[in-house]
Amino acid sequence: MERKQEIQLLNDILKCINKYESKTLIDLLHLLNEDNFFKTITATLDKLSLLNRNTKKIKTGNNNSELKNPIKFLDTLVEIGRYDKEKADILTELYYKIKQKEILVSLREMKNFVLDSGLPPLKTTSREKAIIPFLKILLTLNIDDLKNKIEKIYNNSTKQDRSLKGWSDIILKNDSNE
Amino acid sequence: MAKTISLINMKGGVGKSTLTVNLAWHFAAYSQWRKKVLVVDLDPQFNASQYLLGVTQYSSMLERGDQTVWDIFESNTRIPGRNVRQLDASTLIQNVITLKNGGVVDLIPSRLELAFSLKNPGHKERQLSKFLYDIKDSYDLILIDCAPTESILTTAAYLSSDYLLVPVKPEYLSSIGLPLLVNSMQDFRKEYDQHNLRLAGVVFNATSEYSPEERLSKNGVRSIASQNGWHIFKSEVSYSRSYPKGAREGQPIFRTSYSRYSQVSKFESFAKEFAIRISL
Ligand SMILES: Nc1ncnc2c1ncn2[C@@H]1O[C@H](COP(=O)(O)OP(=O)(O)OP(=O)(O)O)[C@@H](O)[C@H]1O
Ligand SMILES: [Mg+2]
Repeated sequence: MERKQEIQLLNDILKCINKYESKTLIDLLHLLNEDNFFKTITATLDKLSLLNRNTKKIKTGNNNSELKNPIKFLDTLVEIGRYDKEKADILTELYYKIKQKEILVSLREMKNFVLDSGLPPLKTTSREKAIIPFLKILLTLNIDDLKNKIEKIYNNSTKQDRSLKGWSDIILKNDSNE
Repeated sequence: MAKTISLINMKGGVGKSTLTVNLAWHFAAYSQWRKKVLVVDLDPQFNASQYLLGVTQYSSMLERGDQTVWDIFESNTRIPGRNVRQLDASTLIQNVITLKNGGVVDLIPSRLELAFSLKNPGHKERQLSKFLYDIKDSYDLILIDCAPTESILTTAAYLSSDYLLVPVKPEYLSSIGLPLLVNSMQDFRKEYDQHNLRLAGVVFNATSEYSPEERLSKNGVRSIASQNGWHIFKSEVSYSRSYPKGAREGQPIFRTSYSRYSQVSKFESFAKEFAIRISL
């Protein structure tokens, strides 16, 4: 099946070459050989295909399977990574940290964070189900905004040292100063 | 101009710090309030500071050499060979949270050294009220979390306050803290008769409703209260594991993970009644 399609594409390309003449083909090959051009065109194609897919999803309703299927969401991140590596990396890391309960360890904490940062509220009732919608909200932010907000999450979790050990260090250090 | 309320009881562990922090958060965060709240930690055990700041923020505050409530009491003490330390509200007041809606929780933290001020009381009892007087306009509500024992800090709290709020755990030994408080207030009124100190009321904390022992204690408290013309809040703050948990998480009950709505709404009713009592 797939072979058949590829041969068809080749056939179409040959027809086009015929139409544009071989000189144009050679010029195009030179252009494609330039590193930048190739990168730009693949990025543009990626963006286009992603946009198309997203609009299709909205049309088929909100009940998209990504919400239930983290693998699909991670796939989306991989695709985004092709043209916006930084954002994709940040969100992928965040995904695993949340998943492994290193940060935002409860639904309440996630909801508190969303509220404190002025993001649209999460409506889910379980932490597990909230993860993907939460990341999707973050996905819509621009990179600076995203970094800003993420930093707050990480800061909060380091600020959250509330251990007995921590307090006892402070109290005992105090004593030895006297 | 802020209303100033001291949370006080001569008995330890009745919920003074817990209610201080939860009320502060409540009035700052709930959209119908959005108040600017200052918490003053007046206990050398510094529980309110622990609850509100956590280890990292508290230790960086110490490392920066920021002032604490201790400096308020020591600022006029001349230590031979050392300069008098000027009070500096900008390092003395720590911002805990500034909410997007405009609500604020600030804190004047405490530290263990405050206990040493007690050993050398001098004439320090007016220091706190003088300091708070100057910053009162920046806040709507000032909550003072007191230590459980009578000292110069108690007098300082009385002199700074418009009202007292007295949390009581309905348990036998806990209720005996009340006569001590009555005593302490009477002594204060004799010595400082020009200061109008009012009692906002007694609030039962950590109640469970089911136990006969609890009912007995409540009745005892009610009779002392009526003898002294004290108000008892109708809303009670019920026992919930979410309170200690909230302290660990550094959150008020309404932001503590897995806290029950029924518990949260009981606290809300109390906060509402409290606000009416002090005309907030
Ligand atoms: N309503 C409640 N339900 C369950 N636990 C509570 C409640 N209120 C307070 N506690 C817990 O009881 C303990 C004592 O409370 P807290 O430290 O607030 O009392 P306190 O009066 O400030 O004590 P101290 O006199 O030592 O300053 C804490 O562990 C707190 O988490
Ligand atoms: Mg306390």
